Amino acid sequence: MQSSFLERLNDGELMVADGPVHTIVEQEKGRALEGHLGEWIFDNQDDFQAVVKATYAAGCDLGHAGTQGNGRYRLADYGLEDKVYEFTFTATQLTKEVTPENCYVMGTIGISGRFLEPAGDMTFDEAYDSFKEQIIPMIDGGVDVIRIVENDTEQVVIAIKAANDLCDLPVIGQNVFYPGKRGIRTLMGVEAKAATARLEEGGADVIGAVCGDISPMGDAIATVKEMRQACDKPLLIKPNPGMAELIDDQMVWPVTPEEMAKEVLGWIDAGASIAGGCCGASLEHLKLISAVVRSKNN
Amino acid sequence: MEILEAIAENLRFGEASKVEELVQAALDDGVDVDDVLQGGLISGMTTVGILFRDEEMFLPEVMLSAKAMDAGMAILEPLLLLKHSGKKKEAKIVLGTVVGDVHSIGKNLVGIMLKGAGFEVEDLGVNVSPEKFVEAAAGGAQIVGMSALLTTTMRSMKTNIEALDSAGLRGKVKILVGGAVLTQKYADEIGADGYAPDAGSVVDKVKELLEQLNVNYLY
Repeated sequence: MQSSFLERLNDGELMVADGPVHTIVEQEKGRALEGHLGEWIFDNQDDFQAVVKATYAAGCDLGHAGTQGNGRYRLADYGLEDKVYEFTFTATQLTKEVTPENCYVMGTIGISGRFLEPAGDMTFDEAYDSFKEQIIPMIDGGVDVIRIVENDTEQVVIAIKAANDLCDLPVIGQNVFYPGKRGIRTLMGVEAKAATARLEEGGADVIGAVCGDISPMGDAIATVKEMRQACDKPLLIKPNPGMAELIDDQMVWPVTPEEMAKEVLGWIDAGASIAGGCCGASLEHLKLISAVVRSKNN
Repeated sequence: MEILEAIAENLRFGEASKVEELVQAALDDGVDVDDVLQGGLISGMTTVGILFRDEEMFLPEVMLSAKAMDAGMAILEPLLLLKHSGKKKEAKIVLGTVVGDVHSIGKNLVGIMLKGAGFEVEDLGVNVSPEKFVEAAAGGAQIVGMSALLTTTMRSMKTNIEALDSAGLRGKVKILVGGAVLTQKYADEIGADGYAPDAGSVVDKVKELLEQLNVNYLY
């Protein structure tokens, strides 16, 4: 399973990224975004599996196990810090159960909620240990690919190290970018090129840019171009369909599935191998994105 | 005054031990404690706010400057209390990310900017219930600042405002809202007293609201 993922990418195959299960469970299963996702998955296992299955049916090659909030510091905000293993293992297993032959179970390490010294107060060891604590149940649960996303590129690097110390599974390292007066940068102020090069140096097998404030139109292509200049690894791009607005008490995302799908060829031509949609992208968005990717593969 | 400029500059560069050293040196030289506060620390943090807003400084640097500010304040605080005993700095701002939301970076930056401007700030953390906001407001705050990053959790701001109304605190307490998904329009719809689009603009907004309450926010 593991060698085939990277082999396929290195052979030039294009793929569809995982669906944003944390927002799809709101859209499809009525889950309110209050409360902890890891706990919701644990308490609503059938509903979660249905959503993961639906993302595969929509064309996603990677299955998001919904584990991004299960780091101990994030769980502690809900008094659930002793649930790292249980939530992560269960979610990974549930995802594996519905994963087809040629698709991949992906465990996610999400934003840790703390900053590294000296700006913050988290030590290297605290970061490393919290990442290790999440990776072990992913491995036990049958994960195929490990994905890490942090606002701080340096935390991604620490997590990549933990993953590579614990297993040989492929690792996707992701940055979150914001366009500004001085170019496209992470929240920590690191330019896209430098942040990308750093992840390659840190040992990522695939390097991505997701979420943040990168518009699917314009910003996304510019981001992929910068990433392509900065490393030789397969690239992943997964923007949000814009920033949601509350209209008549309903959440509405400004970029439609059709508008988003129109952009995908541009991302691929700029160098992306894996394309998708992040927070707010619906199953419809994913279906149309997938159609473009498939057509390019054939 | 050169030494005060040096404090401001070292604060802007996040040099906490230099700031400590220079603050102490200024006091030993006989510089008035309020001048050290305003001309040194607050002046430095104001520069940080402007540079951050203009994308000349980024988050980690702002955090380091905040640490340098804290280091300087650790020396000044007891002296300020002593000097101003009998006079109270009346303005207190309570901050929190609303229930169900754990995003804290924006709120923390707001806290840094407000402390940097000399205000007393109580940070309730994240995932804060309406009851906790009410309790903190009843405990002597003039401004309740609420933050949300998600559109769903943003909805609970309305609940918080209603809770503050029911507790009879409206009029005594001003409600300020912010966060990436917030807009002036939404703030107006839910009846908030103020909206700030970013941490850089929050200090002026807070001063405006305190003036509406006729609250003295200076010593």
